[in-house]
Amino acid sequence: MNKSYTLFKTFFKITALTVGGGYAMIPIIEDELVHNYKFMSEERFFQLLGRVQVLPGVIAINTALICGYEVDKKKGALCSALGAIIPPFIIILLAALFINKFKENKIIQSFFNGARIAAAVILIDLSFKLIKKRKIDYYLIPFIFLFFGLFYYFKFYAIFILLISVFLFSAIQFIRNIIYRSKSK
Amino acid sequence: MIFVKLMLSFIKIGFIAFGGGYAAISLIQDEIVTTHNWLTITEYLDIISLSQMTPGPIAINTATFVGFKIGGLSGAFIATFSIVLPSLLLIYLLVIFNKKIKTSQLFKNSINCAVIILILTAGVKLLLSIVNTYFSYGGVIDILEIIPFIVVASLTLVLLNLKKKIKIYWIVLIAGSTSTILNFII
Repeated sequence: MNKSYTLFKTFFKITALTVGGGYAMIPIIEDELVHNYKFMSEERFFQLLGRVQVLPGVIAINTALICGYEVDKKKGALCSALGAIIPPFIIILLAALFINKFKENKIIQSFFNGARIAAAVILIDLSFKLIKKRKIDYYLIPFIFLFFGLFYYFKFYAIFILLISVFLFSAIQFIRNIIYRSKSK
Repeated sequence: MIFVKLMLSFIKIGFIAFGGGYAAISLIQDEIVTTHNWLTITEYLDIISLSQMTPGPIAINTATFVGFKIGGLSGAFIATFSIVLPSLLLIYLLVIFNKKIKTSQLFKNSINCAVIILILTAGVKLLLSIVNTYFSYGGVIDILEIIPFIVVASLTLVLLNLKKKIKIYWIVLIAGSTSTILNFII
């Protein structure tokens, strides 16, 4: 099947059903693009994701754009982004028209509550699985949790979390390599 | 004229919204409520809670909703389009720039660790924001209210770690349905 159409369909489906914002969509996007359609390797996906995080803007849209480009160049990028924008646009317009009925509807409310709990659990679960899957060196693992604690406590913006961690983790590996080499001599 | 202002506001937000949806929410508030007085804070809070409850990226939901409140259908379209426009440009630059960078293993490891921290932070934040809603009335937890939370959270965790892989998409649907059913039983 046409790759761009598949991308459109995939992102349409994901944004139409995922509650909890852009980060909540990442595990699902990964699941679909990497495991279901095999458009790219898992490593490549997280490489792209890491690069996108440095940019401002809507995470889900940025991810859609860069993954779309990776799979099918400009056409893929545009189809992915459109697929990601159309469902929330329509849903919000409907919600805006029926805002009062929507707020009172117990069924819709409790469904989304459940979906939101799932989204949070999926993210935490994914971060633990990634430590194993990405073959993170054992000596870096304590630092991941240490930095997480610090960033969380001091309420850092994502952009700073990213830049500071990349710098710190590079420094840690650099120092470790020096020590390792001097020991082996 | 209001459409041009709306467009410029959201383009600006698209360029400076580092850190995704939750960062965008406060930036949109600054522009729409504080600077331009297009909406009152109460109206905006209503919009945010609905944007978090409905599916879709939070920043897109909020932009569409705010645009609709201010300028109807065309307002919604302009706001949504404008917040995405900077992304189109920046990602395009990134892709061109990307081909010229060769990353070392050390740098890749660092990016991997940073992304893990980001995902963990987002998950914990979301989970705590849900847990906090149970404490909203005088700091006392209603046992009956927290049961659905525990059931849905554990069910999700079990489904995620089964030997046979289930699509995450289905797990979200199952979690939503379970929550709905529990809501009727309890």
